[in-house]
Amino acid sequence: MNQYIGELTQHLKKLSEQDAMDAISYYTDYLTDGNINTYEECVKELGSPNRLALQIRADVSINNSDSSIPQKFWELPSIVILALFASPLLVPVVISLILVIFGAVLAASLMVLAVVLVLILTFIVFLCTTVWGVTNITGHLFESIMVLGVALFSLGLSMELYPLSKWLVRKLANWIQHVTIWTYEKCLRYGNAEGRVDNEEI
Amino acid sequence: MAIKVATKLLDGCVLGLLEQEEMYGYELTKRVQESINVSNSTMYPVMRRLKSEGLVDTYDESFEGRNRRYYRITEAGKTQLEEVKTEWMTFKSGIDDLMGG
Repeated sequence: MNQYIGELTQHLKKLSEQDAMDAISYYTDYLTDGNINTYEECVKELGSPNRLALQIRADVSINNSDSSIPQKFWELPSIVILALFASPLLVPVVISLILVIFGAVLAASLMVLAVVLVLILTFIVFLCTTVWGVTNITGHLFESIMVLGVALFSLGLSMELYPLSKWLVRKLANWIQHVTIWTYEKCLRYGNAEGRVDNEEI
Repeated sequence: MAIKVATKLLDGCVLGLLEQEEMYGYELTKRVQESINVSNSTMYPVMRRLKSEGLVDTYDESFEGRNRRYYRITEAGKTQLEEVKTEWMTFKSGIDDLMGG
């Protein structure tokens, strides 16, 4: 049992100290009360320490995601994907769920990339037109004024686009969290709570 | 095919058990498993959430030279239990009517 709890503790290192301690003390109590002593018995009762840790981490991440604790947007999807792999769900189901999450992340990333590209392009246009306008101002006055106008326009556009892209990134990150939480709630949390069946415990 | 138990119902089941008596984690898991099929690791997240929502609280009591953590229902938990019970009775009678139970 000590070895099992030791491994669980290792896998829970990424949690806050309080969350990790709560979980460890719960499962230490659980195994002691159940008189579950050997490592093999522990695995039979609760699954591998790694799998149990992933389940705990996914649950803690989901329940903390509403709070103000800052989280990198890929952290939650990656924990949930790992937890899905560790879950007793059928492989095709797991794969399709992971594709859902992956698709959401990919779509969001592509949208962000597109906006960033447009942003960069507008800025390049600003730089080129400014340089051309300034260097040719003596020879081609009217063209230069027009080109400098374009330069100012693209500067304005990129300044508009910058907060817009930041907003978009935030929105998309939020949306990915929602897709992930949805997948988690549908499939993992209490996924095994069913009307009683007298077969072997998962 | 097994019928999935919704989160709210599982909460209700736990609160119902705790209203009868205070229990520790292992005991609670085994009692729930007498009636519905939940995996052994299902109850920790449930209890964690019920505690953070203030529906249950915990206290430690010494047992065989160590501290054992017990769960007990709070007043808010009792109110929630009544709500779930009412909703469940309405739902149950609706299903019974349809299925001719």
